Amino acid sequence: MRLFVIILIMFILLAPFLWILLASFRPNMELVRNQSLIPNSLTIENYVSLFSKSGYWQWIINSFIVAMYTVLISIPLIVAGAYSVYRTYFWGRNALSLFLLSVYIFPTALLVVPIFRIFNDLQLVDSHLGCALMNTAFAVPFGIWLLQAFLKSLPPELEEAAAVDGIGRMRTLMQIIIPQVAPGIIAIAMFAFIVSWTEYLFAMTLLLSNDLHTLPIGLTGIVFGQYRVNWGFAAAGAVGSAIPVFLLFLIVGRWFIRGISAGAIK
Amino acid sequence: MASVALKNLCKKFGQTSVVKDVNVEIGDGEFLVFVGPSGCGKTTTLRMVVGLESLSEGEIHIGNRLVNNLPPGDRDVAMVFQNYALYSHMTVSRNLGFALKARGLAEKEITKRVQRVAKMLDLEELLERKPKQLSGGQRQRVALGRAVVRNPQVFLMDEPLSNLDALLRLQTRKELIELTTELNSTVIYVTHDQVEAMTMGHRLAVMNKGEVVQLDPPEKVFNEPANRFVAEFIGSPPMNFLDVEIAEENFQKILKSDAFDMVLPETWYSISESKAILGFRPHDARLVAEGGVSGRVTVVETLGAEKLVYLRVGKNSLSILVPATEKIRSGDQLRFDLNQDALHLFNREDEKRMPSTKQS
Repeated sequence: MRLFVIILIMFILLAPFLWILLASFRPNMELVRNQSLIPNSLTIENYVSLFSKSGYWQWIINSFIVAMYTVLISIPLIVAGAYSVYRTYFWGRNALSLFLLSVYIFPTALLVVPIFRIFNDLQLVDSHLGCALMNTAFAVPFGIWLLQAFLKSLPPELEEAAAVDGIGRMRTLMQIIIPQVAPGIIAIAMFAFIVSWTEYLFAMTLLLSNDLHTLPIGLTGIVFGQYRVNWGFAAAGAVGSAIPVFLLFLIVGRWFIRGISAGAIK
Repeated sequence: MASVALKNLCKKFGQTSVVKDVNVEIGDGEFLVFVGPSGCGKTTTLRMVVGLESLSEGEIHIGNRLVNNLPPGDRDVAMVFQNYALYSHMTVSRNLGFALKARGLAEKEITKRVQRVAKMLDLEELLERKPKQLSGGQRQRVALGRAVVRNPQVFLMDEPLSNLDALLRLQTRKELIELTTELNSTVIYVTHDQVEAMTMGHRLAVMNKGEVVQLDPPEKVFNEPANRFVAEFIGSPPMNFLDVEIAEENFQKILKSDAFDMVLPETWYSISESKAILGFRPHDARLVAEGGVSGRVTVVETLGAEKLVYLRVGKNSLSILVPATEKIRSGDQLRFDLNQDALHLFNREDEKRMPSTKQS
């Protein structure tokens, strides 16, 4: 019975991915005519055109650059922000932590025009850095909020012991706190990476030149033709953009599940 | 090592006073234990000494320095925490040497000191392990070593043994006494365990509701408790109490309770009160065939060499210790006598102990 429920849930969760994976190997005409899940014929035509006839590799590189900028800028901000909000005391601390997530209450579409104008003045339009800064703005508040759970699980005695031993605040943060919450920081780095990897709206607005386009922009550009949508190609593009993230999870995931902080107390 | 002086120490959290006017001088090389029930202010007092908690009022002197406004790292004290607070991502060796390194000591000196402490605490084999690969007792020794390696003026310990199981606690207690004696350390130790306090402390500061109610060597705290609270808290099994009246008949002072009368020894003739609380410890009772106090047995607990017998005497429930060889069952009627020299009388109003002429 339990197995059945698990299989059912897995099916519901994985079915769309399965469909996309299968669709990516089917000719476009068949997808339009035949809606069934089981393909009549298989082809790698979609992948051939994705890898050789589109700007796929350039988009991957661009997406990767923007995502790395985003991770590198947001992690120090998240760590410093989370540490100061959740492990130090200052006036207005609680209010600040409450308003942290309020960044997300604005519909992002509303921000497009003002952000474009501001970034234009700062000469950040049509640059990967500008795009990454926008992604950082979206990753940081939630990242801080995520990291607090890890910080709160650390006993305050760790910092107190360091304070009694005469170890300064900065050194305590760098050499005691950060190593203890390393799994959390890795999780947040992955979160920031994915935020950036999948971001569409601001990449669309801020990256004007074709050779700066990231994966989501590039793919939409060629998938949606003027009169028809190439579904098979779209599916191959979706798989092609998920594979790098999937590989990243495989490499880093093992790392971050391992509980480094076990044994700190008791 | 240095002496420590706490003068009029007060701590308030908002309107609540958690430490009230604590005055304690701790001598150079003294082992002082703050003992009391949870929430009595003992840990807060310790945290003020170490500098993790600010003072509302008063002064703290370590050696001849006023340290009120010094950050913890500049007070030259070391603290052992209840949960050890080891840096779990570092090896034992790095845990021990970390503070020294942060203070800029040469690598050679650090290694020398770490080796010496590791030898002292039997950690030599464990130096390259991480804390999670250690047993509770070993972690406790690392925490202790991290304090010892700094060679501080004062050791502060906040219930360092309470996470250990019973047998290990006894063993570590002994080792801790040996270590601090060997180092001739000034130690301020906090515990809620009265046995730990009695066995380790040169002097005890018994705390209740934020106040130090008695500051004396363990024997004196046990034999001459300042008030009913101390008498009840220190000593196991706890002291018995019952309300009595004191009458004068035929030039004698007689204790009258609802179940028995007893002639008071002459050493108590100086007291003038007519009402009091009688206190006696369970081991100060002795079974007798006739006379004495009579009671009905309700519960018998076998402790090994002795039995703890709970009795109903009049309206009171009392407990006495008897040799394990006595065959006693619940429901039995027993007679017992009290050791006249070990009686305590407490004032009913303020619950302070009334001095007899023999004792003080």
